[in-house]
Amino acid sequence: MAARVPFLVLAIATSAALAAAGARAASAAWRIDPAHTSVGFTVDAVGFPRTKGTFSKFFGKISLDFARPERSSVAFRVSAASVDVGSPSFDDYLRTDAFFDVAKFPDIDFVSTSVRMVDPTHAEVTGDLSLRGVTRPITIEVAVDRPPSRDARRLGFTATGSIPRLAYGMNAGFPAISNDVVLTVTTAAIAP
Amino acid sequence: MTARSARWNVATRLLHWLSAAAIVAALGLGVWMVRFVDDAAGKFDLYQRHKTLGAAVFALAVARLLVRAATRGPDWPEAMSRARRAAAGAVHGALYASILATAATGYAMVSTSPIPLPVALPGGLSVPNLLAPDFAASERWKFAHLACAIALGALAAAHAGAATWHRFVDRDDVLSRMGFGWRA
Repeated sequence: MAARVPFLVLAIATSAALAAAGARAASAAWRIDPAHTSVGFTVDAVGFPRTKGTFSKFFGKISLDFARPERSSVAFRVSAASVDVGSPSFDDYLRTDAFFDVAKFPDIDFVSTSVRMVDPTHAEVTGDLSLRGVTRPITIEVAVDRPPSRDARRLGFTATGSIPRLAYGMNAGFPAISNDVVLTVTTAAIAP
Repeated sequence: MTARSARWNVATRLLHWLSAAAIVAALGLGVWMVRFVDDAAGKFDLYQRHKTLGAAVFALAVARLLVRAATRGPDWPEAMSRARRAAAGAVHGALYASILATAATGYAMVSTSPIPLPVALPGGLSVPNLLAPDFAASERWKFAHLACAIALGALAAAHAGAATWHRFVDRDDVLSRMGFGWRA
């Protein structure tokens, strides 16, 4: 897993803003633990069982600011070709231009633009999702396994969201295959 | 007429049994993949195999019709009544029709499906989807495919039942002349 991770410049705006404010030390870059990370999705279809898949190649960084959580950020890059729904021929089909079109659009990116704490263990993260060359804002619900604190060495996150695939030009199969792709990312972040 | 009529020509006999095997496999796989496979990945793979198998059923049926048109089959057994000959002829005609209709409705539901996934053929080839994607139409073709497949299954069962009847009740050679084995 994550054997060949692409490089990603993340949260440039946030970092720049923090640096400008002289608050760089307040925000720390946490590392994603690939062994404890799963990037999964499910999609429903008419007359067909729910398709459940994962992406095995991804790269992500989480920047946490405990004092001002809204200054935290997250960036994730997923290799579209690493899609795995449990059948090599089905995977190959999903890689074609009907769905992910991995030849043209190898990466799926999410870069957060704002973080809003709902309660001590829940946040609403809004960001730009780039899929098939289309970048659109989406909001992801993030649950933390315990209230984040400065002395924590590991934190578990569960992020869920719904991606309206038609908005990204992934039209194949609609309406037999639902517009809504439910995204579930579970990850463990390791303190710097 | 001699006591033992001629067999069907070898091309017809080969095509008959290949068709029978392909049809039984396609019907069985069709029921299995729709009713008893619940995971998306397994279902996806079986659907693709079923579609390729359906293309084989269609090709075999066309080949049989061509051979049938170009050659003459053996005569009816003398003991067979006119009514039974008519019934057998009707079932044979309906069998051919239901085979072609099941394959054609299967192709139509694949071709009109909003999911662009053509019927795969050996050698990396595929059957082009000539009908425009239309979800409502593909759902109607799906129903028609099911109806044709049920009719095909019923006719095939009647056909096999009649062959068995000829063999064990009439004790004539209707079954053996479609075979390759030793004949008395």
